[in-house]
Amino acid sequence: MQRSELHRRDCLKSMSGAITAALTAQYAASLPAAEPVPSASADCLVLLWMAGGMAHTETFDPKHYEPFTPGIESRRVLSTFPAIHTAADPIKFTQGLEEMASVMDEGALIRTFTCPVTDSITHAKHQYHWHTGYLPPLSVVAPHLGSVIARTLGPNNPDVPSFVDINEPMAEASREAAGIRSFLTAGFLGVEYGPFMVPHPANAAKQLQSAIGSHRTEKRMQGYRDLVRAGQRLEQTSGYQQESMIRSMEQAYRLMNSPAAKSFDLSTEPQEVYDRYNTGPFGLGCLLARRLVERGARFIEVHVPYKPFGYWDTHEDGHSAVVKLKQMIDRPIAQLIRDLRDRNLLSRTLIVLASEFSRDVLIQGKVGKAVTAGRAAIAPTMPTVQHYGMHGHFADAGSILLWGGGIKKGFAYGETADEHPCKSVKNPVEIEDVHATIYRAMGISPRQAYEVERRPFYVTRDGVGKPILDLFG
Amino acid sequence: MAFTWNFRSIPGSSQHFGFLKFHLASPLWSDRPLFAFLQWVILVTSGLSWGGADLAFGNDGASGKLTPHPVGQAIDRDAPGKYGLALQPVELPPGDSHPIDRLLARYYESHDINPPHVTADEQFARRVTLDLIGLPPTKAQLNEFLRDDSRDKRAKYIERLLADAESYTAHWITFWSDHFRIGSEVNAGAFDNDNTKAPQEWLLSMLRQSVPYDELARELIAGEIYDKYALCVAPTEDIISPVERAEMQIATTISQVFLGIQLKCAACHDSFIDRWTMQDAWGLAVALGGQELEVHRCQTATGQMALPQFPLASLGDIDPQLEIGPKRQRVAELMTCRANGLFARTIVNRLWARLIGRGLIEPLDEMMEHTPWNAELLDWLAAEFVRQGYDVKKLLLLITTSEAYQMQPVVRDKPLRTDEDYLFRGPELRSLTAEQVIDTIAVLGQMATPDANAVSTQTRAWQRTRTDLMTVLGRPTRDVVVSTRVQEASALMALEMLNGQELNGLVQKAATVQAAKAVDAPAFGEHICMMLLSRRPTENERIVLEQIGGKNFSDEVAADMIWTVAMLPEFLLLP
Repeated sequence: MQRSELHRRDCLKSMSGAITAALTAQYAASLPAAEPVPSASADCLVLLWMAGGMAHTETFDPKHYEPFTPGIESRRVLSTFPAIHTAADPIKFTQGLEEMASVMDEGALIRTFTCPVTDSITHAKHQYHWHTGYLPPLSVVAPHLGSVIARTLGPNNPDVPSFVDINEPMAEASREAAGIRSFLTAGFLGVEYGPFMVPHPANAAKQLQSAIGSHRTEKRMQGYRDLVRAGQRLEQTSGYQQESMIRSMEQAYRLMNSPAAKSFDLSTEPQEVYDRYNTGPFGLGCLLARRLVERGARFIEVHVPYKPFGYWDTHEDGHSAVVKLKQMIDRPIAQLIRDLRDRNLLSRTLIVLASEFSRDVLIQGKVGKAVTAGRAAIAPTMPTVQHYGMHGHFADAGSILLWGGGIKKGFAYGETADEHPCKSVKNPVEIEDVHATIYRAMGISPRQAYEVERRPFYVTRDGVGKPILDLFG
Repeated sequence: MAFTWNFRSIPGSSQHFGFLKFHLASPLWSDRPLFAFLQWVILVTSGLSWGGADLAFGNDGASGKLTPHPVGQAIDRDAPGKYGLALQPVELPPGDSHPIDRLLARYYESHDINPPHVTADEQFARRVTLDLIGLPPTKAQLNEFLRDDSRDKRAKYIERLLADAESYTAHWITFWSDHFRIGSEVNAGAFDNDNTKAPQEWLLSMLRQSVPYDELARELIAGEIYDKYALCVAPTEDIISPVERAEMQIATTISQVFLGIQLKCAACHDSFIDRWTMQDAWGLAVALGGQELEVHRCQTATGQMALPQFPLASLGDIDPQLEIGPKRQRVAELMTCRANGLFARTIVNRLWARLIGRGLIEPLDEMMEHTPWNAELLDWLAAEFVRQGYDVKKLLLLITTSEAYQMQPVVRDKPLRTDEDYLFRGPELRSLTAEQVIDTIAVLGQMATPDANAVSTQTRAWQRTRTDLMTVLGRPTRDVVVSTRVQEASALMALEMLNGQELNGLVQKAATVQAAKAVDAPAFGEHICMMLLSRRPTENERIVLEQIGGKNFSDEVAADMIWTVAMLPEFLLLP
């Protein structure tokens, strides 16, 4: 009793600061976390997002390799790539990931990411779930992981937006795309914490240089300031709304002209380095991420974009598709790790690679047609090479890689079965625990909450997330 | 339904925030809710018990605030709101002035307030035109209004605006879509089943024909559109939780929109923050859906079957034996019956808030939990709305013709909080919506002398899928009811305005069209001020605009001038 009284008084004491913070917050009030949070082991998070569903047995969790022969029995095919050694024995990857394998001594692997919803697995739902920790639809608009981090920690460097999102198309070309990307929002936290979208990393610099040229923008800005000043004699021009609009405009202009803006300009990178990253927009996205980390970014997400039946959404001819995908990601990601290590930035930067779910050999769906669980079936054999690969949505296991930011090196967590469909068998990990792990590295409690509609919204689902302590060094 | 809750009995891990499942083990709400809330979070999360007396909390009928009560003194879930469901008769003070102003005169006197003057004609015209048809006045509209020297010129002008059914519809579709979640974007893709656009078409026809509000409600609840509407607010497959069912989605949506009450919490458990119980939520859902429903508490079946019931149960029962059609009609009847004053009060409060910037009751979706700052005004307006046949346009006319609406706005040095003591001293400054900003500039690029009727046939922003510019200007995804758009100025918004392609394209197009007839930069500057701000530039502004214009007037210079004026807070706000 005495002990708990003491404890309570400490809690109440530590609360007053939090109350002040909550009351002065412009947006949803922050509610204090109950337990003391261990100090952060990372200042910055880079999320490498493999949208579409990356098969674990084709990438970071090799199983029995079965080369293709026409008419091969489907259930025998667990991996379509042979296993390779990594720098962290006995962890193995699959062929085509040699560069990433060579830096695995710097990172850790979670083999058993699982989702409780395994019977109706859709990209919209599971991408939303992965990024917010909550299953849609919700009665409030949940914030993206990056928005939570931006809101809770603020920017590392005020000139770099706290949440930068790279290589995902910006305009919502269709209603379907709008739904798929609905996780890319700060939700009730407010647009201030939303993503700064860089849809084309090669042209990132252009986004901060105005389309009308810097000289004309400067002229416009000068004219704007003069006109605001000229109108200030008028009534109704001194309220907080006007002031915050004027302030925001100055902030945006400062961002466009700050030294940080130069970090968005990949053309200043030595050609040799540029080429090493340049496997296409994703690779250049990794280069941009590195430059922004150097400049003091807080949260960056680099996407392999979601495209129905494209990229990682391999519904047919999975093997050939994954060969190409590996060529796209292997070199730039490994280079990102090495560059950050060589600049002594890896120790304070957490890099996470993940996907909304995995795949297995199910034959499922047709191009242009929605996939429904009912249509899933395993064809008994693979008559042609188009059938060779992992094609069905699968959520009973999936790989997540982590590097830096205080994460144990050369370590693997969880085990998956060696038999089809290679489910998680030991230490399954759900999204709230992944988030709790990330938040712990960033110094945020899994029970950190924000108030919305008079209720607390926890940053991990209902505040139940538990960090995977084994992953910390 | 009795409700007791012991603080110690709530395990720390029981809070949910999933879909319609706010498992909030309730805080000890006090007059300082946040403070109590923080204490609660700390206590629950640290597994400590409250050091003082066992407390539950209930609804304090007198103050309208949720306050702690000793255990046993539970929430009175049958309390009749702050002042009963029926509209209270209000005696209008005698006089010649507008009835709203007559009611407010007493208020000003008792609160020792000097009401501000009404706005000048130009400012009034801009405000009311944007409010009623979503665009600023055209030069022709403005000139006609300014030239009119009759005493009732403002009322006549308002009537002309409201008579323009197409422009009115093109503006108000946004307000109603935000509320009914029609044109939902998050439900697109995996959840979107509304390929027919039928609910949107239905809403447009309701607005075009100015269908009475009670009739609109009855159609939505019990009319043909119900099934199509269900497709637009709820998934038809992949239903994980029973509360995702269409009837529960519609139950929580319509009770929020029509009655200003929140059944979202109660869909999963008796609410911890207000009076609503699972019985209320499931009762309404089963009355709408027609299928038998087993009540699920936090996704766990309770073994109890839901019985049809209207959340305001005192208004009448719903016979469980009825077929689905008559059952929905019964819900519609209870919703719109004269005894249900909350139905009228809620929409009156919403439209007052839309036009004045702050509701008579705040928050707008907690109508039963708070007292209005002027109960007489609210109930008089609601009764008048009913008397005029639930005619929304007549209500808009009534409010906009009052001095209360036409006054100078209040200038504040910090945002108003919803829980703050509020005194009415005039309308608040409001931000233009994304649709208003984009449409206003787009109109300039469509024709040299835009006229409101012609414009409405062009593509307006509401018809387009949400863009980045719309997002930063506050257009929401409609996966939840949006009663009040949040629009904070942010650096992200400013960046989009500074160099975003969409705005730049709009401005460029406007410049090309508008500059074609301009003589020189000063004349063009004056023209743009008239088009965007509905006033001539001041002498100082004229000098600045001339400087921007420079010596060689061109489309480029014209674009710079349009951009500069459009970035002014005076343009983006609604003074």
